[in-house]
Amino acid sequence: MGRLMSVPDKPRLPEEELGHIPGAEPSTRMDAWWWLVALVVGFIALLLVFRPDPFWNILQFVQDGILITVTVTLISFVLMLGIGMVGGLGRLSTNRIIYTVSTLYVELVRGIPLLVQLISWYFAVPVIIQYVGKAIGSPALEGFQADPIVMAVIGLVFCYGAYMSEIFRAGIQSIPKGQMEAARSLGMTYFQAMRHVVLPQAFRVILPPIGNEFIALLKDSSLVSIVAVADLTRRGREYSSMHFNPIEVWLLVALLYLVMTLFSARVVNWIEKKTKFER
Amino acid sequence: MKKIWLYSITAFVLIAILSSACNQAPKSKLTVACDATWPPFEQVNEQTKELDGFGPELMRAIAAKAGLEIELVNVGFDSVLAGVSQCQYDMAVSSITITDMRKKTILFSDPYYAAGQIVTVRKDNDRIKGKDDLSGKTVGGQIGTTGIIEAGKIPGAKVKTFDEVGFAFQDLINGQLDAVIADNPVARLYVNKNQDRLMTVGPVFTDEYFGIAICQKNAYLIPRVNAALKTLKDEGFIDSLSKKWIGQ
Repeated sequence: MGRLMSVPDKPRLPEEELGHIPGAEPSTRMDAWWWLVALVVGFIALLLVFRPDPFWNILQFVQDGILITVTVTLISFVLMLGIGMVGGLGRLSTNRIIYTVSTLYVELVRGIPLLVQLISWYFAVPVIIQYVGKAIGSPALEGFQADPIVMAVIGLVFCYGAYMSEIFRAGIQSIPKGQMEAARSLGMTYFQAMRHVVLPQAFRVILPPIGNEFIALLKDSSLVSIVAVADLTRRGREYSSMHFNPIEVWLLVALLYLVMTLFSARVVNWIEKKTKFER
Repeated sequence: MKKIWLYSITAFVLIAILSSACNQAPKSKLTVACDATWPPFEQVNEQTKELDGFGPELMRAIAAKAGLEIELVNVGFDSVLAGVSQCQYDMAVSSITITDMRKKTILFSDPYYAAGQIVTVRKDNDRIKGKDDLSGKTVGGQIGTTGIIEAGKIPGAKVKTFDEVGFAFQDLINGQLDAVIADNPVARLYVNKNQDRLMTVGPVFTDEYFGIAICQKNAYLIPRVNAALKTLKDEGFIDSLSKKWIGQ
């Protein structure tokens, strides 16, 4: 009885009084842009059902490439979040050495094209390691063999970590100084204050650019095909070099990438809503 | 007032796009695709940055004989094949082996060179004696080439395709690949450049003939190209090209 009585007494939500408040929409609502994902998936399904001759065969051929693309992207993304955080904190460090090292890393790495970096990681770095192994007489290093996927992940993480560092720096800098000062005056250490006060707030700020980087990473992962990683792009090229049907192959490959990027955009959007906070 | 400007600029841009799309003059030059990463057949001249080698020189001579105006463009090998089969390019001269599979979508001239595939391994390798020892090994080559097609036929071999055959040889030198399959003269050139590290093993195990690829819409070019090829062969020009670029 009491529960029923209390309903009319409940204070009205601000959006009920003011109508639409931008950015304060109820977060439980279904994200309307899922229809776009469904549309592209539906289009692929139509192609597979009605034109199975090229499209189903292409999908059969490239499916292990899709797996490689997703794996390379996810592993690189997790690692580059770590690098980005360390790099971002380093860029804000008052310690001269840490600041210089992280600034040099960001400035040098983001100034070299990813493609050039990937080729160097796979074709040049192993040679250097082998030379060093020969010089110091270590047979393990001398016989060093690079795994293309490992080298591709290292290349992607190394390059994207630099961009990520700048995003983390911007996020941390966007949190008012008072937050850190208040946390420190409550007796927290610098790292406690970062961990419990500044970074959680900064994370919400940088979530959209991080999502953006994830999508860019997913697309740039196609560059690893240069070092003979059999990803979606390379499998597509191999298929089209055998069957000479570029229109069908690249239509399907583009649609497959599109499904992955649109889907990840929705996931980022969902996380954004989950972590939204009244300020 | 501002809106009028906006509309007129939009209209102007639209008209410009439309008129440029409609007024495209018919192409007078024939586009000839070539993958210049296949020395000594197709390569880029270090001094002039022009396309150079057996193929481009032959193509220029054919064009002169047949009275054709050509423009050579440098694209990746898989794009050469896809482009000429889709008539993106009128012709292609890129050490393209005439195969039944390719004949389905591409027209070919008479053969102008006979080559074959050979296996290249590292010099310190004493296990691989030829094509038959490659089962279970990692074999590389350039994407779309007959070398890769042959590698795919070896049971149990893991095939890695590279954009350029030079990448495959570099990977072999670095020890990350067990063998490369490529055209015999190309393999020999890379072995000669890296004599202390690479060697070919086994015999040349295929008989292949290079032809000039012609897009299906340009069937009228076949007799003209073939006539020019025959004259050049009779004049000894092809033999002299072979001596100049391949050394035999």
